[in-house]
Amino acid sequence: MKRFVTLSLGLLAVALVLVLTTVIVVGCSSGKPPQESSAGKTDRPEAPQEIAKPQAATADQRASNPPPFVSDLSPLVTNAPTTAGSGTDAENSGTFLGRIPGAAPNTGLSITAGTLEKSGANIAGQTSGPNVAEELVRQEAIDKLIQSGQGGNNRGPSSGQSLGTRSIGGASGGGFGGGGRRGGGGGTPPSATPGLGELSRQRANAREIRTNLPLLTEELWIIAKTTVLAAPDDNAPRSGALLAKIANKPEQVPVPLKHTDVKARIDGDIATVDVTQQYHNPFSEKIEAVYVFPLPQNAAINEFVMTIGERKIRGIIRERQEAQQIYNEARQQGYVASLLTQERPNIFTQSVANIEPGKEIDIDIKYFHTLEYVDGWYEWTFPMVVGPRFNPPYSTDGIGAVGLGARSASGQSTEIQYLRPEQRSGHDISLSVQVNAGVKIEEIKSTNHRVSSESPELGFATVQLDPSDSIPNKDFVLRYRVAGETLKSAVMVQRNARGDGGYFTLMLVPPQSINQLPRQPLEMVFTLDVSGSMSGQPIAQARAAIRYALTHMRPDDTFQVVLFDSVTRMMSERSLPATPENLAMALKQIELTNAGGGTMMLEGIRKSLNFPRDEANRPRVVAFLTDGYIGNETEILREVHGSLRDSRIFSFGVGSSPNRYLLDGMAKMGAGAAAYLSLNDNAESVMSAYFDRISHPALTDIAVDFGASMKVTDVYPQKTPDLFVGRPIVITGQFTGKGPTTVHVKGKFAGEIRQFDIPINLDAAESQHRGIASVWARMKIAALADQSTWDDSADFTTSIRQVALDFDLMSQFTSFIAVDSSTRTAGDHGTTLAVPVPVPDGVRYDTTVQER
Amino acid sequence: MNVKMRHPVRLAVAIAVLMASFTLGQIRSSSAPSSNIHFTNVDVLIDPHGIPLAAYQIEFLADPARVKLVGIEGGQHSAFKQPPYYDPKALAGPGNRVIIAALNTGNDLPHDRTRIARLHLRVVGDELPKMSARLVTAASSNEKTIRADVSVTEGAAQ
Repeated sequence: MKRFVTLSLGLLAVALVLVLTTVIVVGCSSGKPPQESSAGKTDRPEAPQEIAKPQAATADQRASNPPPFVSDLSPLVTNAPTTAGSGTDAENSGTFLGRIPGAAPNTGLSITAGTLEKSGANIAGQTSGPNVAEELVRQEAIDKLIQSGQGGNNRGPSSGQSLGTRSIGGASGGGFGGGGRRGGGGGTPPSATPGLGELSRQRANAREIRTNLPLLTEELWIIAKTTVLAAPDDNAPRSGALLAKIANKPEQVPVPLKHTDVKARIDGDIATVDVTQQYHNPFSEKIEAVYVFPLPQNAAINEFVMTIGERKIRGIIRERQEAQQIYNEARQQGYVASLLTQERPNIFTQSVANIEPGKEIDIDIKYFHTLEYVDGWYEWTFPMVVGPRFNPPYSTDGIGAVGLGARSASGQSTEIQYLRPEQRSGHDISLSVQVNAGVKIEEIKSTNHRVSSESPELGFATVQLDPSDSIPNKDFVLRYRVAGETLKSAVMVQRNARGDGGYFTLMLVPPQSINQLPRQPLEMVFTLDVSGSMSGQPIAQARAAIRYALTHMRPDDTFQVVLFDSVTRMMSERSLPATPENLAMALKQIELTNAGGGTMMLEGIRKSLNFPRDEANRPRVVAFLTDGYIGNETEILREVHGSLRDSRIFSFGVGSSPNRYLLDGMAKMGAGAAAYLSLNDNAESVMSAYFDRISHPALTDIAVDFGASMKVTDVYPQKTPDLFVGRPIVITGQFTGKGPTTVHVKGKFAGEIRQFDIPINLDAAESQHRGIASVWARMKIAALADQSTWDDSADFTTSIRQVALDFDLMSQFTSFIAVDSSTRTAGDHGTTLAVPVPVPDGVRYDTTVQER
Repeated sequence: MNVKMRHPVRLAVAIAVLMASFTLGQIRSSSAPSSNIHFTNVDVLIDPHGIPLAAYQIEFLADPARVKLVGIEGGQHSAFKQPPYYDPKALAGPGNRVIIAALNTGNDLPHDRTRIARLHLRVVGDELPKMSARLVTAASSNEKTIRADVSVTEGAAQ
């Protein structure tokens, strides 16, 4: 007994010790923070002061205790002193010429007139080189050099067989009879009103309905009334999403995205693009808007601003998970917040939380990117809608395509809701482009849209989207041709603040000599996507292109035709000689081919690259025609890399909004080139250009020597792609050096070594551009991401994330977050509403979108 | 007998277990950051002492373990209405330093104490941590470094 009592007392004593320990631990951890964190001790030159007690840090004090990074200012003496000193332009523009003296006495920072915008370069810091003010000043100088007179102020299958997550309807036919085609599953699509009934019935059954509603964190789909801004109704479900149906008119679907405005400026081969998305809440309750939208796959997105009324809040780049967490917290606590995430290099999700009824919030996104130059034309593209993707049945991280309100029906991590053909949303788009070509613009045209254009002076043009063509359901493609028979290789530069180097892009133009040699006999493979999304106009365009190709082959060529949808079929086991009989057979099959079914592209790639070579082992060239509407891009690119060997892939993006990330990626991995065949293009012309491209040997094994006066590091792509007729390539890197120099390019051409020289001037005013550092960083990220698709040996995630954070760039691992902490909205975070979008022009809803 | 004799033991064990649970629970809850996250904002003010302020660069100082920058808003005066830029490398680097800067080349510039930025912050903990700002440089429109005072005050709600 005594022993037990002793034991009991002992245990109580242990418990008491635990309690005391708890009190001590909790006291330390939950009380006021330590006076200084270890980080603070290490990194901060002075202890933080109490808030609301203004603490002066005067310039005098600073001079006696100069901030460490000020030393970075010293060498600047900006690279634009002559311009600044000349003063003429600045004076004319009504702005000032000044000098910002940094702490270092001889800093010599100069301010010149011009537009103050964000630089893509790293802009400050002890560890990061030049400081912000310095960079801003330098950009001013560059602006002035480039844009004289623009001074200004600071602005500062589930149908049939279950082969995937896309609902496929309609029959397909033709195509080598290889089998397995799926039909059916289409029929009359289900009603757009998925089950909750009319408003009156909702009200009557409100209580019952509410019990069946998803959690508040989920999207609600409610049928409501025709008027917007419905009065709050406690009996109505919490959503307030509206659907209106007016007889003989498209069904109007109010959406939280009212308008998108795009303003682009093109200087040389670099575009600077500002996109403003105008969100609003036409409903009676607070909402969260979620919009999945496309941007160019090479866009270096480095600016994000949320505008609420007159107030602008700059978004901050953060690691993706961290940004998502901050967004969730702000959303949950009722703050207006916005988050931009990347789902694919060309697909992004914009979330805007806590938009109160009747309120508007704008999101401004800014990016830089390089232009394409294709067969004599510069090409600037702005994608307006993401096409409906097919995802293999095993996939969960694809891009789902579902009908309005069919949330989570696809089972994919990212999902897009599509409007039915008879539905319209109020979301429209305006777009304008300023082109500064530097030389006379001979011709300018828009492929898919009605536009108006004017050319106020030589080398300049302004293009405006016609307001009558403002439905965002197809890529805007602007093409223009400049004076001169041949394009010259050109360099663009963004100097660092020290002036001794910086970042460059170099457009390598194929030398004329590669046009001179004819090609050798080829094994030509035509691989055609005949899945449901190609149904209608796209397949008609693709057929026309292949028809042209088959009738322009040489007798010593061989050829193969591969068709894929849910299954892959080949015309023959091996390629056939291009005899009239074989070609006639192929033409007949192509003409009989209709589109329908899923898009099991992986098998299409495998078959195209891996079937046995022809008897003469001719070089294999695969022409791959598809809209690219799949969600497993990484898998496809990995397969291309693994199966390519010495073949080449030339991809053709068919339709009004093809997946350019996939198509460009296939061509890049496939050592070929991408071309695009919109619904309004002449298919024969596009195929003719392709034949021209493959009709001459490419310049291969290219080595670029930048000369003694220009030291270059970190060049991307790391391996210079082959050069084809009509297709320049862009390389980018960091450099040190000044003035004029000559770049020597050496490569193999038809077995012989060829060399050509490119004279460039690193200091030429027309070569300066503030976006080059961002473009460099974006190309580095793209190179790392490409490599990560097939190389498991390195930690690409960390590398990509670091580059993105350092350069303030969107990436798959970084996101922009902006929170307005000034106002806390009442109530919960509101209902999540996706912004539904139309299917791309020419694409059939019934063969591409899953309704439930 | 044995049963009776075990009761105090059982009681002691039960108390000990309860106390231990309480202890662990306390530790766990005190280390969970999401339980006491809040958002706030601070205004950064510069007083150029009567001289037109054309450019500035400041560093905002706060414990990075507790304070995260989640948005930057512009200032009061039209010259600095646009949100200033921040240095991403400094923010991503050691210490998560917040360095902001702006420049205006116009003629309408602030002469007196003015808010040049509002910083939106995510704060861990119920109490506002210590925060301050350090002036790196300020300049007038005539190329001169100017003496200026910088201060931080709690931002006002809209």
